[in-house]
Amino acid sequence: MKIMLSCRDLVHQADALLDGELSSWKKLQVRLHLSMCSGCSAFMDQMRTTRRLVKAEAQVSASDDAKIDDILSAFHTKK
Amino acid sequence: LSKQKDDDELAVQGLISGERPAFEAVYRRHNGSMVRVASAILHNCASAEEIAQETWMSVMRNIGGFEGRSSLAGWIFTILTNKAKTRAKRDGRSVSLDTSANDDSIDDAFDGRGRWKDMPELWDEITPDRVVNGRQILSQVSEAIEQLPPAQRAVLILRGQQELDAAEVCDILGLTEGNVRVLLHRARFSLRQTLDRIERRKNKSEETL
Repeated sequence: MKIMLSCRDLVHQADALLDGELSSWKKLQVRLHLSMCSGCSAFMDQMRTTRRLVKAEAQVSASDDAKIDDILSAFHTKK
Repeated sequence: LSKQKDDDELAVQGLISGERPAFEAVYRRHNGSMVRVASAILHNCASAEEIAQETWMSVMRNIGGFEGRSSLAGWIFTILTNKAKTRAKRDGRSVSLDTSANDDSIDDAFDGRGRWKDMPELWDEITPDRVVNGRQILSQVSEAIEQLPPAQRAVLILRGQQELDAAEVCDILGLTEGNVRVLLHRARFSLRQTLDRIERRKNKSEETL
């Protein structure tokens, strides 16, 4: 079993690391690589930012009054 | 997770009451993502809006029977994708999301030995409220999300925005767990690439000033 991950290997583990889904052996390999590779450390930081931005982008739909009225009036007439 | 259960319970009670503020809160949280997921399946924004509307009607008709076996969002999105698939079938379209890996954008970023071609450097321009090159970062994120292949887009919205768990997303989209993991990873990597280009362009334009 190889100990050193390449940068490409690390990138493929990035999501699993951030989601806390890595086995302890994998986590160790990833940590070891990150401790020696400033590029991949920067990459992990960028992935965290990317996730935050994706979440922030979630489109809270402008309340569409007409549509909401339709849904609720159908609901209340049925009752 | 139990906090999510509590939140769901409150939301469900609100829906059952049929009171407007309670309904509106749930609607605002999900409707935008519902339209996007439906349009990933239907490739048509107008039909996607209709499907979302029909889904809400159905949610309100059936909310009394919601038993909390999945999350409320998971339940709503299951209704949505079932309706979208029925519509796609009626329109004679394929109902399965294309999960083929037709881009090698991840491996393209590395040389033969697995080293970065372009070593990543910390970003300092990219934050949600920042304007870079005259545009809000978030609007550039939106555009990048719209350009993702439909399957990646649907997974990113359900996992990265609606925060459904992987098993729910598999059921909702009819994909395997492996598919979902790979699609999500590709989607995030490709957004990272877009943001990195924005950052590097910004730095270059500062150097020339």
